[in-house]
Amino acid sequence: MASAEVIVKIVKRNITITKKVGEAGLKIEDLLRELGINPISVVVFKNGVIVTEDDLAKPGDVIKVYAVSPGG
Amino acid sequence: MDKVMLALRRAGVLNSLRGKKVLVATSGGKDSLNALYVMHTLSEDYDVDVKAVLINEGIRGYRELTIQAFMKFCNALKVKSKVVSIENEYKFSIDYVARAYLSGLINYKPCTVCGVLKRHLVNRIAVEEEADYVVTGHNMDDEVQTFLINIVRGTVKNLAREGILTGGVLGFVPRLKPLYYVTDKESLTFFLVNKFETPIVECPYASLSLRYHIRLFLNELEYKSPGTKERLLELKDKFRASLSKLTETVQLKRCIICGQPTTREICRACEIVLQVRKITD
Repeated sequence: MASAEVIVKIVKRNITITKKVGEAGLKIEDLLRELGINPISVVVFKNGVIVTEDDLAKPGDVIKVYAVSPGG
Repeated sequence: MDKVMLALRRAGVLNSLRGKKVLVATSGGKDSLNALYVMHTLSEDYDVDVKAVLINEGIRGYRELTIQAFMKFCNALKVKSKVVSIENEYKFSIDYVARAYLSGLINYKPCTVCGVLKRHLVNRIAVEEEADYVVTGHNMDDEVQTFLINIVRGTVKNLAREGILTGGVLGFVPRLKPLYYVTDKESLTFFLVNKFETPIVECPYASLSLRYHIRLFLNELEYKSPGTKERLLELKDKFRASLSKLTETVQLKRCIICGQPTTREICRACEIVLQVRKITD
């Protein structure tokens, strides 16, 4: 059901994933770990605003994940 | 910016920056563009002459993208800039070195050659530009990774050479790292919040280096035990202080080929160039 999903855009890999989170939402830290991403190695935006991993991803949110690249 | 000021204060350069010439060595990536931005910001208060240089290693599909970002960034800040090519200077590219390494023709990893030649070239340009400091975008993650790499390799003397401010002897232009206390994540956050732009690209040879694996390991440790990187940086600085006597005994001389400072007859960069040219000639 679309209303219980978030859209996750992983910028470095140029991929977009749709993820079910449930009506109560999911902690962004847990969302990242489920996707195999270490929260230490990324910066996350929710609906265009920078957030910490303690924030909740709720149905309808767009989560953009920027990875820290080596050789910066 | 607080962490940048802390680094500059601890390096003892904050009060002596006025009127100095600074060459910022950038890759076009987030850290070095951040370093350029903070030095440019300080230049107004401290009357610092800031120039920027980017070394083009000759890695197709990667470096040409960040060169564009670098030029755009420098133009926006009105900072004088130049791009210098490794291929023009040494007659081979890092792409060539990588192919030679993967074919078993040379033992040098492309990352080793890239790092050594970039340092060599940047120091030469800094001398030519009469720069008082070379500023780099090395951040806390880079420093802690280097610390662990030196431990893994057993290169104890190198531990003593790493710090916020290094060099400054016999032709080594002092190297300053204003992002020394800034983590990778903080640096990326600063970059994105300020709406700076650079392509999200990664060097295609990054995974060939030990640093790549140490970086992943450290990030996992940091996640499981927050504060790990900061504690390791503190430990590194303690090591450095206690090992400083080792570096004092090292006698520097001029490389007989290029004239740059070295502990050997022929510096590491010239040694690498000679080895690579054996297969290119």
